[in-house]
Amino acid sequence: MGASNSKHEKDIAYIKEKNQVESIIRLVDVCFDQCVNSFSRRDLNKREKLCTTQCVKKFLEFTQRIEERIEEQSISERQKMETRRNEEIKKHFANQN
Amino acid sequence: MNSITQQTTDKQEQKKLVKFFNLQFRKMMEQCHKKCITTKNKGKLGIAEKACTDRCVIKYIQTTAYVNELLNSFSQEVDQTLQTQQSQQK
Repeated sequence: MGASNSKHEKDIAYIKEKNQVESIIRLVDVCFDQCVNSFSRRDLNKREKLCTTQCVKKFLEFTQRIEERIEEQSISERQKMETRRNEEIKKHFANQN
Repeated sequence: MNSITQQTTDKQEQKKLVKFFNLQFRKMMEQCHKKCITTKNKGKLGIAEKACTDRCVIKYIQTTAYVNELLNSFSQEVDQTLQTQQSQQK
């Protein structure tokens, strides 16, 4: 029991880390696409760095907002399920009487 | 126990790195192809395309490093804010 739990925890941790890594890769890709468009020089210039900074900030805010909405939705879904379950329990006892 | 566990962890870390680089490589290829390979008909890379491709790879890697720097500094800011809040509460 203990062993399968800790494997489960490891699997979950792995999935979360993988998700995070893939998000970062996507972030780099999005910001590169938006900000880096000229290749006359080898190094990133100030404009490109500034654009990247703003792009990263916006992406983080975007991700956070999505997480907030998901959290809200899951809370409201749970509340709906509880209400439904309570209704069914009431009906069950009402029928018995 | 330690050396075997360490070997397993090292192998896992290696796998993670390889997956990461593979994914990044594909994305980099897509971007640089999109931005640098402009002519379709000739069978070879033009001079401009070669230079663009070289610089694109360099810039992509620099962007990755820069984004990681930013993420580190943002998370440090969050940690510092949390620490300040915690010490204020005490």
